Amino acid sequence: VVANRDDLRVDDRRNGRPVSATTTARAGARGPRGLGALSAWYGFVTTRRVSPHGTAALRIGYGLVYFVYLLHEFPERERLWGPDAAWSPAMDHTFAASAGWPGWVRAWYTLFATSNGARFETTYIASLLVCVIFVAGFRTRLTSVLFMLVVTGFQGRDVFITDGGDNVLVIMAIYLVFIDSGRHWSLDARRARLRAARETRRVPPREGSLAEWLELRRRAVTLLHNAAVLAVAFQMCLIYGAAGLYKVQGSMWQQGTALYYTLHLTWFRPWPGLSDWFASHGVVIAIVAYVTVFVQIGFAFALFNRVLKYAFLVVLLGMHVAIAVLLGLPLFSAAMVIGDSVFLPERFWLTAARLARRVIAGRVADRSTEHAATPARA
Amino acid sequence: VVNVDPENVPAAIPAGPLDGADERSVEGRRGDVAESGRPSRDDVTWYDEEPAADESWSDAAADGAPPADEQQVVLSRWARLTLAGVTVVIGLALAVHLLAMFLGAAPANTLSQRYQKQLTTWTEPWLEQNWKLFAPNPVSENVTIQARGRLVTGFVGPWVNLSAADDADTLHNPMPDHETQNQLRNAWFDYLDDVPTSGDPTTLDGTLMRQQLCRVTLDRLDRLGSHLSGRIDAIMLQVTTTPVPAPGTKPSAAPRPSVQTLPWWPTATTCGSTTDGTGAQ
Repeated sequence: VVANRDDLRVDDRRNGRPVSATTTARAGARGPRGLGALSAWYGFVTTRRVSPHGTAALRIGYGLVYFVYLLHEFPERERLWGPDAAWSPAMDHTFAASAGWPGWVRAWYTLFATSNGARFETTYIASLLVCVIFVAGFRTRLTSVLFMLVVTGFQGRDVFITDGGDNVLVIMAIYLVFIDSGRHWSLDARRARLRAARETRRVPPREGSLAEWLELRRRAVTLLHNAAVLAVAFQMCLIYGAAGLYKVQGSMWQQGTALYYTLHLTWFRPWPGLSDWFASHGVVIAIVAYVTVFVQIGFAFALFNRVLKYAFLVVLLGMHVAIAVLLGLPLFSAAMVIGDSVFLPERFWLTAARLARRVIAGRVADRSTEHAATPARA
Repeated sequence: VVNVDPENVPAAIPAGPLDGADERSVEGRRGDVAESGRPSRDDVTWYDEEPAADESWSDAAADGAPPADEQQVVLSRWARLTLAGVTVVIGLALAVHLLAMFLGAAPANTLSQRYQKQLTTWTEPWLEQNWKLFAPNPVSENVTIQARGRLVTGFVGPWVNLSAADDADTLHNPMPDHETQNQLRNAWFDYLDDVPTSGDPTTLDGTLMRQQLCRVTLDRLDRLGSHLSGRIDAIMLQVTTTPVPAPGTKPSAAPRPSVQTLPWWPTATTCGSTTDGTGAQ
């Protein structure tokens, strides 16, 4: 057997179903068909974590958004979630008790509903810390559970002050628990790298059932990761699809005047001049309304075509920037854009990382030239 | 036997059984050649954050290929069966979950109505969804909420415009907070949804929503200044709803606002004590 075909043989052994060289060769570069394709797919989803950098970006993105959110609400925290908040802890407990959930769900829902001021303050500071640690990717799996508890904790404390942005964040925080998001751009990755560099001596390979158990666990975890990434992608399609389908039912969206009305709502007018200017362009508004509806409904289908996919993602990005600025909903927009980023390929993240590194390196180089130049001038 | 070109191995077949190797040395993934048309870098060792995925430009970009020096674990029969079982369980759970999420986001239909109990069990409280974002029609009226307080002595304070305070906080603010953007707005619309237009709430939710609106109002009056010295005994809300005039409407033809005045709410009973947080079960 040719040494270069090692990976093929590995695959054979893994699936216990030999793929003959002839079959593979006939299938050519387009991949195997039928059972062979199924077995290759099975091998893929149980051994490869999809989008390792993209999921790291999800972790950093959502962690940052929630950190900024909590920091931003810090001055108002007592009014929103404190013991004397308008939605009091007692009301929250009453509400949870009336929902008919099992005891553990009720306890989880009212996790942050406390009438103890000190406990509330401690929880708030701890929540901010959890966000930081999650962004940094320290003990990521454990931290992702804590992050999820933080996000759901605030959601359960007062669901009536939340909006679509919080809704997205809760769902994504739950999915992130199942995602192995700490592989890159994290303290965990740094630790692993340092350990690998330290261990000059080759670690003797593990043998027997322990090795097998570890490998089995690794594959199950990989499968879970891939399933959760799929769920994130599905969720984004669902949001856009549902939002679009609800819109087509509305006469104002059909008429193309929906944005006109939205731009006149006082609660969503941080820049009245800009809103009025935009609202006064009836034709533009109508076109934007139609494009919005088409892109939202078509999003899930556009994913199957690479050109369309990126075109749609760009349109959606523009839409979210507009929502963030015109309607004063930056957190909602950020949550959606981060969710959209799950559709970007690894190539994007690696290129972005390389560019970032180059910029940082360039800056460092600039600084050292400056330092070198200073004494000369003096 | 056909000679297999090592550069032509199908892309879908993973190069090895181990993942998580991206931090370590990595063998090039021949599979990507077909997609990217780039040569593989078989003998490049990466210790940086530049894993083999560098080569996999596709959307299905995989985690790194296995390190060449790591032993390849061959799973025994029971382990393979276990993995297959785990796959089936995760696959089924995912399918059920995605279906539930779909039904949760879609309009009520035969399926979601028939399995409503199972659906709520699965999705409540965390996975509830509402994506009627500015849809089917966006709200097309502006609401101005005013409130005034009354002392035990019967002295009534002036109307205080609560919405104006929210508007002022929103103006030129790139990131209005939840208190400004959602608290009073949601409290009012939730109240409208859950409490009959005339009269008292008939459900627990309605009672809670009225209590919420009452407490938000009291809180705002405290903050904005009720122009009253002494404990507020009752509050009254007046809500003015102004439809946004259709595009091109002449100012003279603008729709008239409607005014809704709610009855006096005794704060002790309707709002509950502001420090009743001890009542947690």
